[in-house]
Amino acid sequence: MISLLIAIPLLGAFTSIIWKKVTDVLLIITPIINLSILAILRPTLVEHLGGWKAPFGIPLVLDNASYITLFIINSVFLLLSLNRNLFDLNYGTVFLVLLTSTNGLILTGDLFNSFVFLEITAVSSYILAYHNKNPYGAYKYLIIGSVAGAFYLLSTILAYVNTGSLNMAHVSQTLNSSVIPAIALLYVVGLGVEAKLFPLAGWVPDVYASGSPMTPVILGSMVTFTIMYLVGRIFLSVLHGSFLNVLYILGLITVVFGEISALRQNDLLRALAYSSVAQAGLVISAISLKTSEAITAGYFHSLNDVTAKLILFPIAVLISKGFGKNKIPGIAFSIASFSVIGFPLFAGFRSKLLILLSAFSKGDYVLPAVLLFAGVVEVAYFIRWNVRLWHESEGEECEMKKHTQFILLALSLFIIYIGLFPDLYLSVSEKIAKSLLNVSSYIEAVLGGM
Amino acid sequence: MVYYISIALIGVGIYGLISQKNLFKHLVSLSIIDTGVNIFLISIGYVEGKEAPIYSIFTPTANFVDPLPQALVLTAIVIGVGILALGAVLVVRVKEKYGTLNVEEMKDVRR
Repeated sequence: MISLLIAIPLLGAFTSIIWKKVTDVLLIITPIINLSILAILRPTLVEHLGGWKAPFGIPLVLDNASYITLFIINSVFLLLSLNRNLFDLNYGTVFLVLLTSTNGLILTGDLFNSFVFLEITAVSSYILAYHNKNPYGAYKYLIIGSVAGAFYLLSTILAYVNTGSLNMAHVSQTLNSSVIPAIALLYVVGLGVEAKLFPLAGWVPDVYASGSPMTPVILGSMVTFTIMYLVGRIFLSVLHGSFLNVLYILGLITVVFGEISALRQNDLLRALAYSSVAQAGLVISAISLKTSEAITAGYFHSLNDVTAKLILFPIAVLISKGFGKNKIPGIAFSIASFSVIGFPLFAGFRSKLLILLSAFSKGDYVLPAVLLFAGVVEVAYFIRWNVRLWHESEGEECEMKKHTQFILLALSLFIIYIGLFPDLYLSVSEKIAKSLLNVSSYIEAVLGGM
Repeated sequence: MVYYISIALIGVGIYGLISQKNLFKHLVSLSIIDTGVNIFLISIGYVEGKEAPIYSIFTPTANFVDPLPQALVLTAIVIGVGILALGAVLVVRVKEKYGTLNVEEMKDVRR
């Protein structure tokens, strides 16, 4: 039953090659089927592919964390495919393959299998990143992403050499602590490219500012959240939270670097791309504080960031002149940018406050200082962009369809709703955090009390 | 001994990525890194004096090298080839757009 979550998008992808005309229907039906399967299933479930028991076969693990992440990813996919005019339908097949691989990446309980799905995710991201205006950006992404993939494979192999197993639960149980630094370092490189950590995030502005509205929206929402989940799964569940202090420092450097670069940009899309890098850094440093509250706050912030970026990027691509004649997208843009800054009443405020509180309660004063500094810089550039877009030029009528505008406005109202009543996102991220930290029940679920 | 070869190959590949200005050479460096990783993979499954992991009348007892890395390396090679092909497509597109493969000669590209 669980494997259907991977099989159905793949089937959809192949069908869309044969019958090109049904692609737009498939893009909507596939996530709906997936969501209804998820609604039937109840975690915790483990499926052993081909009947081979773990640790010998590949298990698909549906625990609380992966269940909720899958729900989020598939809903985001549905939301994106409803925004019809953001899409070039020729990319429909790639988009469905991307859904396949992100679902697989979330579900799999096998390190090598996760490498394969990571590479499929990466390859579909390269294809989506390609745009006539910037073949070089996509090429840069391909090179750095593939090197990261090689490092990911290398660390998977090191784990195999050390434990004789590729099963995440089994590796986590038997890993010798003397090799953890080597494995963790290679995983930092392997995941750092997709997770947009500082020295490895050079591709982000080129790819996100490629000029096609769908690239930054898909990469910044679906792929980013999946990778955040994978970072949590690997560093918290498999490696028992060792090596997280390195991730913490890298995350903080990423925040500072991202915000300062965003401030210096003259191009709205590049500014948003750097802001997205900075938010990813913030999420990673919050996750690496390793307390349950901090991880909750981290995933809460990641959810807020995804929601805001879903609004910001398409508007930034389609309406770069001004909001004078496009009041509705303008309002949505302003609300989303206020949420990223973290004004009270908006969703971002809640998550930033929570990150601050959890850092203070752990006795950590560096993260709050960096977070507040980042907040000041964000205010500076987002207010500048808002003023520029609202007042400096009238702009033209945009080509955005009415229903897309409506969806974006509804999303921005949702941000205000989350800002007022954060319980929905909060309970969701709390479940993810609890389930990622509860390593022993994960091991028991997969290995069956071996 | 084989470990050193694979580590050296990975090093050569990374050096190539950093030092070269021609985009095609980046692709070559990438494939060198992939080869290094694959050799490392194969080498960890190797056991001195053991046979290929195939059951037959000549090998009635299981006196095998570790078959798992060989299965893994097949997958890794296939993925590597796919990425190489995609990279080659992108190199062609870069050449069509900018007329050169040298990073420094490309115009209106932010580096």
